[in-house]
Amino acid sequence: MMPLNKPVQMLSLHNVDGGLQPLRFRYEDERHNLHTVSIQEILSAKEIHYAGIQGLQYLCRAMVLDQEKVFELRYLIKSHRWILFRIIL
Amino acid sequence: MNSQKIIAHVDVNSAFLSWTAVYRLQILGETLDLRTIPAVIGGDSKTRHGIVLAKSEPAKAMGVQTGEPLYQARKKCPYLQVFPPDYSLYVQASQKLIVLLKEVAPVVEQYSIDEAWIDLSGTQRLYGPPLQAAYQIKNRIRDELGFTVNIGLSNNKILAKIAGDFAKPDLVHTLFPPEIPSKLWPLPVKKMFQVGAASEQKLHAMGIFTIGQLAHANPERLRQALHKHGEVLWRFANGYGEDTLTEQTPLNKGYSNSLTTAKDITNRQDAHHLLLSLCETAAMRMRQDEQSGSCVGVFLRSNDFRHFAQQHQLEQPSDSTIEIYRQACWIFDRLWDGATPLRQLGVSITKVTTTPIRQMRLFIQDDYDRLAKGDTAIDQIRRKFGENALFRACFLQSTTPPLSGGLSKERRTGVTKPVEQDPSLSWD
Ligand SMILES: [Mg+2]
Repeated sequence: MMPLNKPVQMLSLHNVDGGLQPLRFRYEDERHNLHTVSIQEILSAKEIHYAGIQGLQYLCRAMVLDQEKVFELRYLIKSHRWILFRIIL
Repeated sequence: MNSQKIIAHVDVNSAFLSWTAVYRLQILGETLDLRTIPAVIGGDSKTRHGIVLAKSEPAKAMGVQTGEPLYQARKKCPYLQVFPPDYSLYVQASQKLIVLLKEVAPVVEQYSIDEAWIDLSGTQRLYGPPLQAAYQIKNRIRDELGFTVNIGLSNNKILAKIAGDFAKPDLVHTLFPPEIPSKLWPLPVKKMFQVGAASEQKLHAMGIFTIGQLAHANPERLRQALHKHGEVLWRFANGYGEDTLTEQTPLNKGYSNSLTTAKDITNRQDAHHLLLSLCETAAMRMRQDEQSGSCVGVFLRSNDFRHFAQQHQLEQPSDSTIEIYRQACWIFDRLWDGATPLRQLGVSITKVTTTPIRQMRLFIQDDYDRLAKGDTAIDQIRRKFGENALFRACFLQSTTPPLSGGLSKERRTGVTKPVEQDPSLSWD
């Protein structure tokens, strides 16, 4: 099971134009096994300000444990954290 | 087009509650939206401090009112969920709202933490007709910031504010002068901006129950009954009002602090201690803004909910904790019979001006320069080492906290609402 709304370790790419692109992240399951997920496609990216808290929101597609998943990653600018926010599909 | 201005009033729906709701949904990832259940933002319910600071629409539908004690709200609504306020979040959300508004409108006047006027005059070719512009702004706030606002549109500030108050949430209303007879006049007078309980009563006594009756009343008669305020209300009711926005955030019109105590206060010394702790915070805030006040007020609430209040003028404006405290004690001693158990004490300092150079007095009781130096030193130490780094020795043996009332960093840096008659908070 992927932990939801938890910070994850992230490998990401910072472009010269300031753009930020998540590439690969790692999460720990309930049995403390580490899983690495390589993002196959970023479906959409936008800046968010919910409740005034600035972040970047990415909808991504990737294979997770042999299943294709669509999920939402968030980068919170103030805390510099990547969050696996929710699984969409 | 005519030269009439287009003013919009933007008001966050149940601001504190919405902001907490959005935070819980979007940052904590919870699925329950507090806006959809009977919920309030309120102080700690274990101690007795709790009052309702903001309420959800379902809570409002059950009769819960902003400003009432939590236990009273729970009586009306047994399943009421209470959440603590998070002022730093509110200040952030408020600042983002203002940033967004400044992006869309050339002039923005912030009125309180969750309200602002924007001037949309001359934006037609940019955004289309005002109504369309208002809808765009409202939806943009909802989609980007996650909370909803009401927008009121008119030619001046007062009408725009009244329009924004019509039906909630997430709506745009207009109240242009031709709409006054149909939309404004049928409303009860208490819906009028700046009609409080006292004015309402006086107007009722004059046979004025609707805003229309107020608009058609003789202004001279109103002035006799309500002084200058009567004439102001008459002007509002007829749709006259300021249409120029001031960008600068107005400084506090006054500073006030109050505390509801966990136990009844029955002796003078405890009361004086509490007054001192309230004066400390109020005076600190005032000094921070480089303001001085010349009118000190004290208000009391007994354990059976009776209110007492009195104010008194100082010889000259002051920002000294001790001077304000002395005045507060003097008023308190005249106001209190020494027996009635008290549950809430408050201090207010009004008639505020930018701290002037002090006039020399012929008969000086105290060395005010030394007092001012002391205050400055205390402020500096507290700023550097924390608010509890230094307190007056009389609080050592006392159960009263040395600093009472709102002084958290967030509150201090945030935008506080101008103090009117009632110092209790209301942010919806
Ligand atoms: Mg509001």
